[in-house]
Amino acid sequence: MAERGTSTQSGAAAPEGPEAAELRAEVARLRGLLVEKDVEMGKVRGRLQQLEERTTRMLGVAARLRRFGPPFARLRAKLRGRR
Amino acid sequence: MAAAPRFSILTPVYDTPGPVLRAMLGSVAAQRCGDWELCLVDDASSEPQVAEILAAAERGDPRIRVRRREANGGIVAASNDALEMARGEFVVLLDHDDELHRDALRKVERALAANPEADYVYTDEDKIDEAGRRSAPFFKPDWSPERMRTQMYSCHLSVLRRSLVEQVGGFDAEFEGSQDWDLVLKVTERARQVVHVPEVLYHWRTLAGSAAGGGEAAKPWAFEAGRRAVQAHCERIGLPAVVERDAADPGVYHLEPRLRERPPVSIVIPTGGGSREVRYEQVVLVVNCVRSIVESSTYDEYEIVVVADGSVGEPVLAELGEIAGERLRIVPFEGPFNFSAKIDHGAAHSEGEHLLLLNDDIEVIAPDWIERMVMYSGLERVGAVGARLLWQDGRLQHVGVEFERGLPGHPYRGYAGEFPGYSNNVRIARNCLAVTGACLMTRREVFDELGGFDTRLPVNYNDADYCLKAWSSGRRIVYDPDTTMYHFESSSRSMDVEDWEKRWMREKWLPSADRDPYSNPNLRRGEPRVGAVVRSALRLPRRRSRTHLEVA
Repeated sequence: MAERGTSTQSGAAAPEGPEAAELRAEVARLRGLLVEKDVEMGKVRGRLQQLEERTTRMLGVAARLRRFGPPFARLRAKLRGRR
Repeated sequence: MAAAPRFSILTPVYDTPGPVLRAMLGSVAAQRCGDWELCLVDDASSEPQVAEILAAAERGDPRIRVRRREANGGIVAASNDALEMARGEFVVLLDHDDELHRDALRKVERALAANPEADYVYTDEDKIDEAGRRSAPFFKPDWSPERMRTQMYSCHLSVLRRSLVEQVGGFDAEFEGSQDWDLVLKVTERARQVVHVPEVLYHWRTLAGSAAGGGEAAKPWAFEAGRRAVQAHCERIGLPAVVERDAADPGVYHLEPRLRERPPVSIVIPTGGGSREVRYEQVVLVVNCVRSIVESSTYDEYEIVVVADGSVGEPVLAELGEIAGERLRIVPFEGPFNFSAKIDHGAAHSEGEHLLLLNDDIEVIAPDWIERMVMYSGLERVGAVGARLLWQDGRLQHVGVEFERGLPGHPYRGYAGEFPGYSNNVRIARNCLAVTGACLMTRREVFDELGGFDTRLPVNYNDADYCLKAWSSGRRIVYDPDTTMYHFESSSRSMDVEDWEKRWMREKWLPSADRDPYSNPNLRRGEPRVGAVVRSALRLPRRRSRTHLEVA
């Protein structure tokens, strides 16, 4: 619950004039670029997390199957012996 | 003990390839449950082999009866003919190119014996190709009315009480192609009980041209008929919504609110007045939240009740006043941190017919978010409504809660925002056991009846506990994917839960929340268990043959 944060910050009064307006616009543009990059990164991060979880699940299954290894190996050996 | 019911299997047939038709007939003959009849209607097939195969089947088994239509009438006409032939207590819908699992009727019979009031039973299903290879098992939730309005999820195998099917007029030609969806909606509007058997008992053939194999291209009209069927259902039950089709997925539908009344809503926002960086700018969270509500919402009948700690500064309160004007009500809160107490305090100082509980780190995205939530919250049997919450980088934070061993969890948390979920369950409205209190709407009468949030849970699980109270009182919890909001909770936020909180939840809610009815025994955290998929593909029985039943 983010409401537990307590600090607040009041912004300083912005300077007037065309130069300040240009600066503010540039700041907004750069922030926008960062947000866009965050969204792109979010897609990659999300996909990565999905694949990592799937990999973990598959590795878990592989580990369980390995526990059945010897009977399967014996069966395979028998089948080979028949050839 | 009542006698076992007779099942009338209804199968319209039209130009079915010989091997596939024989496989269907064989799957019925192999049923390990005796009391069935197969009502076959040949819809004037042009392939001569169809009549030959059907005639041979009829000669070979007195339980198989065949009627031949003089002229091709389509699936609805043929299904109604089959319904006319039926003498059993229950009708079983089986397509001419699909197969039943050999235990299908036996397991349905067992489910009916345990639930004599059941009027509709459905099971899990999978796909089967022309070579008989099985794949793509669909492990379904127990009865989920909200899901049924945005996805025809129960589909195969469907078993319906015949008297009710006849009462609603059988198959409706107006919804040709989605006549089964229409029928299930009509029957379940009147059903005393709906039962789900969570086992794959139906194999849906993927042939070129079949809906299972071809998507919308195969039967484009069927999806539009589905939309109309749900629209008609909404009108019958008084759900104020327009049904729209999803732009990307033909099997997904959306309800758009068309409220006839605009009941007053109280948005309760507890806050400590904290700030944090949002989009590379330091903001006071509650100010950002309230501004987004005021600037984005299209609903006009609301008040904002800010439950403010003593730490909230005067400038913040003044700014809130400037933004929200007369809609704003500041309710001071004293005492140690207790989220539940703050919610209850805010609710006590509000007047709306619906309470909308909101964390202060939420930002509105969908302008019609309040309309959407009121649309669901206004339904008598709905206890709480939740939203789809995203972190600021667009990843999923919350899409409904899933319970595992009595404790709530967030499936797909951290996945990409576009992730559709298993069987589209992120993109469709559906029921779940709980939704997060970060954005939760509930009717005031329900809130009061349930005693609000439990102040013995000051930090965690208070929302899940509230939803479980609502669910235990016979109400549904709704997740709506189209109510989308940003939740600026840090993605690295600790999910620490105290041991005593886990104990508390388990002691109170086990065993009822042991198995989440809106998940499936073969799913874990929203994904199929690998073992279950392998067992299904290899036609192996379930390890535990427990048939789990859930009532409507």
